[in-house]
Amino acid sequence: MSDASQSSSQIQQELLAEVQAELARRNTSQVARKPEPPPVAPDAISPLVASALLTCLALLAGTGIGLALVYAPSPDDAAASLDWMQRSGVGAWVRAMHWHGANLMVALCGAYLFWLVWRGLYRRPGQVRWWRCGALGALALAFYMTGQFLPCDQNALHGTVIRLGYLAEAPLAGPWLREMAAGGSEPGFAALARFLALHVIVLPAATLLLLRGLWGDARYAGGAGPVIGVAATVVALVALAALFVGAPLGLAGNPGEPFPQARPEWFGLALFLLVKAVPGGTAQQAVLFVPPALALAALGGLPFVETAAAQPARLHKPLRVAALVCLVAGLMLSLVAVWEDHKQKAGWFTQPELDKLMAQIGRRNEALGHSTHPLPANAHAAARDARLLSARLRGLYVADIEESQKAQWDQWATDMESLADRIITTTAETERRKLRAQLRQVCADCHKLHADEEIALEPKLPAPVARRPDPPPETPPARPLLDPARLAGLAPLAIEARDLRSTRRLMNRAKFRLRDLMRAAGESEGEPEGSPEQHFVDLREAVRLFGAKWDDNQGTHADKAAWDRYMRDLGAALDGLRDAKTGPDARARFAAVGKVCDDCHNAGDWAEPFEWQFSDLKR
Amino acid sequence: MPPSRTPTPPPASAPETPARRDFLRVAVHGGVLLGAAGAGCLAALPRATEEPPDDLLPLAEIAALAKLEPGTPQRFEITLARRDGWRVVQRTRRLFLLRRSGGDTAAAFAAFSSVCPHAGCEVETTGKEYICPCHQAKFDANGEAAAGPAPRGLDPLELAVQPRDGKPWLHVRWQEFVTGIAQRVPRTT
Repeated sequence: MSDASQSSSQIQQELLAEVQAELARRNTSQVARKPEPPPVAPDAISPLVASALLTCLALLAGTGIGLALVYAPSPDDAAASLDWMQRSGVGAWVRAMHWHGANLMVALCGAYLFWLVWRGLYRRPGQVRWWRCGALGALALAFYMTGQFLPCDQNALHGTVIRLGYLAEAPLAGPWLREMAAGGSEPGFAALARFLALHVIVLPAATLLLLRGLWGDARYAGGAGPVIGVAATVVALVALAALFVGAPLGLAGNPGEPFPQARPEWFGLALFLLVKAVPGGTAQQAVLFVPPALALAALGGLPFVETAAAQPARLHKPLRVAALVCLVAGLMLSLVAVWEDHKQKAGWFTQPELDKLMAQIGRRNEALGHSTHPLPANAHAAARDARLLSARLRGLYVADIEESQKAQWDQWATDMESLADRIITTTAETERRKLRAQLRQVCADCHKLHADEEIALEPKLPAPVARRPDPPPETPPARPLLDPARLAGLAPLAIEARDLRSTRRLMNRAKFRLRDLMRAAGESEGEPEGSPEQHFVDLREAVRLFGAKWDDNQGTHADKAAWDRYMRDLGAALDGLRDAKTGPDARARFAAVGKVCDDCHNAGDWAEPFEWQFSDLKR
Repeated sequence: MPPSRTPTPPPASAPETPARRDFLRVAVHGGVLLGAAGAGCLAALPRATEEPPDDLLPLAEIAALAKLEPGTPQRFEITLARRDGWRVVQRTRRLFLLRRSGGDTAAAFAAFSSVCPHAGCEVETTGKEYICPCHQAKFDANGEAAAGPAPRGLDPLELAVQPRDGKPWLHVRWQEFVTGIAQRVPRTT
């Protein structure tokens, strides 16, 4: 044996000894490796469906963000804000994609669950995938139910009222659950806040927990990620469907207005038929809550009933039959529900009735407010409803309409639609009022022609509310306006020569001093300045000076005697101010001065070159 | 040679690895935290307050009801103030008034809520009967359940004759009831 091989053997011995020592330290005799989970049985369909589900989730998240940028979370504005979004073609397309994506999501979850049952893939080691798919299906339904309320249109509101009623029938916690969801007697602001929080925060967060596993489901053995072809197909299909079929958006929700079109979504039609068929009470509770309870039990329990794919499947065949029966029964019941509605002209097939439509339009007309008032803050919502309702008038004629009048009827309906739409888009208040008047005029013309009646177009104004009169303002005690002692020795201030030459300038001087005096008495707005006695003396002097200028009165008074009379009266009225006391006394004396001024100005023989009134001095 | 020790037999189940212990720790702690956060959120939600019964609201002047034909329901609308979260909103609700006999007392009339006792939809009248457009529940003119899934008849509302502006007026008190059950249980929230 060579030295090299001897050395190698020694090294091996030493290494082995070290390993054994380590094993001894770990108190075991063999290396324990983490067991690899047995591989999930490969199948061709699961990666395709999982890829489609992932694509749907991405589409819903993307379009959901787009919707959230425009959506106004208020029952009064939700439908109007979405309608505003849909005015642009892209907005309507994005919303339609969200709607089609949500429908596809529910359908895919159902199909995936069916496939897993059909192939027995709920058994171990595929049980996690089975539970994940079930959870995703439940989340898809929760997303749909919460999202369905968000537009707050008639369908959303009435659908939610019905579902909340069902929820209240749940055993044990029903009323509490309803209260938690609705936050009040009927769905409104509080319910919307809760539904929105669930739809955009809680449910997406729960979905994120499933994403990693779903990503794994979407991989073929050895593949890197979801099947790109499937993803592209799903996007193309949803985008194309959204181009041709838009998401529904009806009248603004009003719990007091009947909505005969209230029907569940396509996946709830079977349950709807059963609820319609059984009497309310316990039977209805059984219909509402036993099938979901059974589905939940199957979802959670099947992997425990049939433990492993390797064992012979005892229940596989019965389960296949049960799944097939459920699918076929669900389809049949849904078809029967639609067929019954079709036969009875109910639900989606409800025929519009002219009288009811007119009553609905009348209510929106009232909501647009009285013509003497500005349009109310919610005019956009009323106008939007009026637009939708007017469109339904086309082709829905009164019974005795002549053939030649049908075109006119349709034109009126189109005009109303257009006018209501312009109320939404126009900003100028005057223009909006004009549009409201035109809208009402179309109604009046139509009623006049077809019913030979004059209709009341204006809503009733609310009765004036009796208002307690304001308490009289506290007046300071009266005091003499002028101090006779100070007045006695006071001389007027000097007047510039150019002012002395102009009647107009002298009159202006008199006006300003009169205003200063009124401010001192609290009879004119503005802070009093200077001495009232000085103002009075200057006023008196200015009047004396322009009183002597009949020759320069710009011809407004041709008769000198009249001019002198006015000047005399003005002097007497001004002298009356010497003994004035603040308050009503001064007010009356100033009014006497003002009356002479106004009379003189109004009695001129020619029009004055400028307009002036004594009342201007009060400001 | 290092001293050898007798190897112990392997445990029956796989030992708890650090990774598994970490996962369990995170799962338990995370679950408790999430549960506490969820319970906190639910507790923080303002509960719907119990509202006092509505006032008697004027419906119509008795003299004006003289033309109401016996047995033919007439639809009326009333406006109610309802608490909705942080604000009070005005809601219009509908009711049906029926003249049962002659006379001007409240007993000569009956009023029914338009809310279907089955699932809460708005009931409509044909003039002879009431029909719910949602599940096709039918009620006769007196409000009794006639066909369909409704578990009870239409819910009657309290009526009273009270003076208003010096004239006798029929007044009504609005009330909502729990839907879907045979008993008539007033809803107070």
